[in-house]
Amino acid sequence: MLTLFFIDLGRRIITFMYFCGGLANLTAQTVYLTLKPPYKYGHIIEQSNKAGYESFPIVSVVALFIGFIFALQSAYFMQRLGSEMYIASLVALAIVRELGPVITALVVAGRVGASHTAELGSMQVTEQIDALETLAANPVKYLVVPRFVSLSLMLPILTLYADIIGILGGYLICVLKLGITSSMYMHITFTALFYKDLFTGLFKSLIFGMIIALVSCYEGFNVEGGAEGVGKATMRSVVVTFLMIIAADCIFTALFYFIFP
Amino acid sequence: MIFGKTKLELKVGIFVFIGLVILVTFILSIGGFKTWSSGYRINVNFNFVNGVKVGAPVRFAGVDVGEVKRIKLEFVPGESRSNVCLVIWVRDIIKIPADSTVWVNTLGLLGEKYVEIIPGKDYANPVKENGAMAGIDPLPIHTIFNEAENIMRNLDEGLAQIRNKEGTLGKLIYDDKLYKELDAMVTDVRKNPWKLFFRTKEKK
Repeated sequence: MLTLFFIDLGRRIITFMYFCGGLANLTAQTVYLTLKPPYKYGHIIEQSNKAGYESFPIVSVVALFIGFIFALQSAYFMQRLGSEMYIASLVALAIVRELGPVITALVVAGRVGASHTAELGSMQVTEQIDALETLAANPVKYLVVPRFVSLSLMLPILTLYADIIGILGGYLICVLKLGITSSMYMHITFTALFYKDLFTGLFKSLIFGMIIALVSCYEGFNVEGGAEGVGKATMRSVVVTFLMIIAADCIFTALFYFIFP
Repeated sequence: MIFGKTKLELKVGIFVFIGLVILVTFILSIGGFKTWSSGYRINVNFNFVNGVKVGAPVRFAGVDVGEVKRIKLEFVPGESRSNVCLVIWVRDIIKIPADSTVWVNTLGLLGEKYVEIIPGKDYANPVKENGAMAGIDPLPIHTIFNEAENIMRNLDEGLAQIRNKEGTLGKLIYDDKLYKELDAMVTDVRKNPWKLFFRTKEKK
């Protein structure tokens, strides 16, 4: 009984280490191949369209609702203090520093990351990736690099959209519902923000983009079995991406808190 | 009509372009265009600045017109004292008369510090770029508290004397002799109003 427990524990630890090693290996290969010519602009544009342009509607809807919700929820307490004015700065700081990058990353992880895993997973199952290798085309260069580059460039841009739309959501609630004048709202919003707020948020979203691309491609490459394996890998990819995004967010927030007080 | 690959590129191009426009808008709005508008610097000398920070606002006639760019602390050997030089940046259109008063003011009692300039009259002679002005030192907060404490102590002593029925005020409040006298007088005058018009013959 006890032996079984230890076998199970050991297997889990080894699997986890395999995962870490494989991910690190893929990361190193991807970064190296990204910097090494030739560059595949066509593929990057195609993936950017999928990751950025086509994610824009859902990201903007989610960001707008988050702006509404945040303004209303903070209004509940700020009205008791009689300082509805500062909802503007709360919304701006929360969205630009934290909610914008994280919510965008989670939405994109669910939408784009899952599709990458499923796509690469079915290619693996039908041995198309092996076929690529026999054609002397490096699958990492051909498949991972365009996804990596497009996600790490598109996620900060989507985050910018999410920031401005989230602030617009807070603006609509405050101006139409709580009776704060429009110019007052904009003034408080932009006096509350500093460059470091914007740039730490964008830096975090760049890291999140890299995490989504790498984890989803890694899981796609490592599919075993048939259709069932693809399903499992997709599920695992989304779960692992979410966990890693939140963990990275925690680490970077703490880091920035101590570096730029 | 645009098809296929070009259409894809167009979509991504527009998407990224609008994203960059948003980025530039953010940067300009946060910076408040201040960095690009032209202005000039002047030096204001103090002995004590009560914790003014770089970036503190400068107000001329109560309007924000600039900010503190640098704080230099220098030793003046001749007078054996330290001089605090605030380098303040002011927008171009603001002309500061040389006889203006400059001091460090506080928002609220313990709030943010800022540099207040009350305009003088001498507009024919404004401060030039890199010109120097002398500032009026703010009172350190402990001096204010000491002063207030002194006033309170004096008041307290006075009140204690009154409470101890000392001095004119103490007697006025606690001794009813004057009241009785007044009362008697009023009663007397009511009863005999003619007394007011009657001129007593004082014997000399």
